[in-house]
Amino acid sequence: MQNMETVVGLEVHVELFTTTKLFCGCSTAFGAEPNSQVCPTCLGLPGGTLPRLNQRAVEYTIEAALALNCRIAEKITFDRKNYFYADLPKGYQISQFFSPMGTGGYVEINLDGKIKKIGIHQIHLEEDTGKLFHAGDDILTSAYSRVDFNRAGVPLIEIVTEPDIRSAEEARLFLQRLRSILRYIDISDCKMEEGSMRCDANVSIRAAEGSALGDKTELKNMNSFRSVYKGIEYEVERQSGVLKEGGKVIPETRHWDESKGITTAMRSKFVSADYRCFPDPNLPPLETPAEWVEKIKEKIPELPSSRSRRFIDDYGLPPYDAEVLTVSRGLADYYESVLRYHRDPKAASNWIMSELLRLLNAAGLEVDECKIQPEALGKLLKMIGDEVISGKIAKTVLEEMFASGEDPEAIVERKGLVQISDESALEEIISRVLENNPKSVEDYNQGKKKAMGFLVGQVMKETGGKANPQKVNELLKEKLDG
Amino acid sequence: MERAAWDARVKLNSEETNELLEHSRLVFEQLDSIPESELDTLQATCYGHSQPNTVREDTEEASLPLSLSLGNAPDADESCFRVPRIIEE
Repeated sequence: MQNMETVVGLEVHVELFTTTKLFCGCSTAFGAEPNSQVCPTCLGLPGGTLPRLNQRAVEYTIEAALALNCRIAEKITFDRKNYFYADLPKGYQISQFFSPMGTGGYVEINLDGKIKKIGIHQIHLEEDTGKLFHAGDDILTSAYSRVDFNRAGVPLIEIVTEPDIRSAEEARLFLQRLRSILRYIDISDCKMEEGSMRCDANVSIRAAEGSALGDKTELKNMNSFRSVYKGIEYEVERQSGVLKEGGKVIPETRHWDESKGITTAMRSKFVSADYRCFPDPNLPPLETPAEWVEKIKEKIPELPSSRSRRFIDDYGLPPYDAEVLTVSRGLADYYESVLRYHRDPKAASNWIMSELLRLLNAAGLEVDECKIQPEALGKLLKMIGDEVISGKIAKTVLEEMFASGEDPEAIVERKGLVQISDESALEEIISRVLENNPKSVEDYNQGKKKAMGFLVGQVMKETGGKANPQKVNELLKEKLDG
Repeated sequence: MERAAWDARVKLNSEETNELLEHSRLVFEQLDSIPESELDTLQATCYGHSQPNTVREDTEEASLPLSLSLGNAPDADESCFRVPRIIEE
């Protein structure tokens, strides 16, 4: 059983930012009282009105398909996918089986500097199901379940990849990039923890690269990037164990148990024939004229891959910086705005990636919620570049700016934080430090160069961190060596 | 027939199974006669008319009050429908 290869394909569901459901005017707002956003159409009540297609949902799906480099179908059709489950009021889901909105696309992921294309088999539009709340700990032990149909009929896009993914890490990178693209085009918030982005993974193992695909299992209930990573990792390990012992992988749907870190069998895997799909007679085909598609295409902004390449080419950033800064459109916009006020691309990148993102993450905020305006950060970077303040002091100033939104110049002025670069002032302080620390001076003279660091620290302490560290180093070295 | 019954979530006794098998046989016989006709120029009749679909604006409309949405529920728990356990023993 050597040279076994992992093969993963993902099915990603994403809720769209529409005001109303896919086929009726019920609200899609999150968090409303259960079953307060339902009507005869989305509840599948007999005698309900016919489904009426939401234009914005169609446009968002076309936009997503174009952003994922797909071909757009000239005619959109909808089909009924029949199955029984407590969260599906009509006994069928309206989806696109025969003619999906987009096909044949790809997403690029960065694998340690190497670009890999993950094929997109198709992207289609469908309606979401209701939501189940299981009494007890989980679905396996619950005595009964409660159903909220507010989500039933909310427009969802399903993105199905080709089986091009070869590891849990590639799956994680793909999902992150996909989320980034969909957020750039602003069609969904893609929050896995709130269920607006959900991912199932089809996992199999094959003997060697290029050989026939092995039997696959489908993993469900993975509610974060970490869960997807862990779930696939576990399943690969489990299937490898089965095959190594001469067993066979049973094609089935498996449930990822986050708390136990294992997958458990849920049911035998459905094949497409089990769903008895057929065209929905209530929804005739919708044409997608080229002019309409072109108009939608014009709305697509520069996407993360090309923006990242431009950051490398135009600003000379390392690929890592460019990847981090283009992960969200808001962050990339913020970075470029800062450069309009202080054009030092690497310094801006360093400060945003290390200090600003640290503060944002700790506060649980997005960059567009940040009180520090790009102009203010530009000013702060200019003050560091002009040696008005030291980098150390700048960190303190940035924290204060983050908390209050105050201008950096005003903070520095008010707190008297201007960097001491005046040589005579520094020499005086250095002389005092040397007098007070004869042991360190002796250590330095005996070749213990580390003593220099201690003495620099003492000068910085004396000045409350305001001394220009480069100047301190130069002057101190002169004094000690002289 | 057993598989079809499982898909439709219906239980059939042997008498019903035999009756439906006979019905199915007649349907399939009828289907077998279709290729004898000239079908090349015919489109499958999936829809009641040949007009293309239209779209509606993404504008909110009133939903049902809770008393009506839960009105026919066999069982309810506060504002939710209550259903038996999903996974059988």
